[in-house]
Amino acid sequence: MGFSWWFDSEDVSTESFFKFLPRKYDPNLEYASSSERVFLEKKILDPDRSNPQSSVHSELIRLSEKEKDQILNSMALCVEQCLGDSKSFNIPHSEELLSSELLEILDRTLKIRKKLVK
Amino acid sequence: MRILPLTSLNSLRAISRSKLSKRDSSKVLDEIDHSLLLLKSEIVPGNTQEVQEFLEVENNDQAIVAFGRIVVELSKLVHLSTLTEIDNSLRMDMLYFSGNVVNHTMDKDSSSDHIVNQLKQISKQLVSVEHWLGE
Repeated sequence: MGFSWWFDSEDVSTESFFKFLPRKYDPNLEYASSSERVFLEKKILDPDRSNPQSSVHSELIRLSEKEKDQILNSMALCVEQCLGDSKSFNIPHSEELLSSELLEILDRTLKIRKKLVK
Repeated sequence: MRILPLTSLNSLRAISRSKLSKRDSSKVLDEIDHSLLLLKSEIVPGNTQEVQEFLEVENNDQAIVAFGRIVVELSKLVHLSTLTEIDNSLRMDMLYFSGNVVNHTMDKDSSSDHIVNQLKQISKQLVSVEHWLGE
């Protein structure tokens, strides 16, 4: 598809992509709007659209991943607020918290990502 | 199929009750209480309708759109599952420190059902993209 230039890395791990804990909240993360993503989805799926453009595809994936980062950053903030300053509790690892089925689906999603952006 | 994790993680405790004074124990319980209230406001099942609208994947456009939705819905599910499991662990710890069951419980069944249903929907959509890719 020719938009791998913006792709983080072919070797991006599930842990890094899905921001596994323990992880610090990033206060400087750019805001992502879901309405912008939904607008692009409609544009891509519009049957009357003339030429499919890979730039629109790459923009949709970029927006989806920005939204993902924002959702997971808000999770990191909540965990930090709950446990971050505590001397009594440890911040757990995501691998301990998520079910094996969910972990497997996260891995499969990363495999699909690699194929789609090639 | 087991969707929710067994409590492999029973506790978030970094300390033992036997090493704490009554005053320190009370401080820890306040910490847990504060955290549970924070979690309660964050653990909101719902607002994840997009994958409910299953998209049949037969071309590249549909595959890209489906993938984008999967990524967003999965991140919501990771968010919800993570906080739900931390909430469960903190409740175990509160029981350990106080011997009492906690108040202001969230609707655990609703959250668990939501996680199970969402995972099924996302899985179905994921399989459709995988099939289109020839996996």
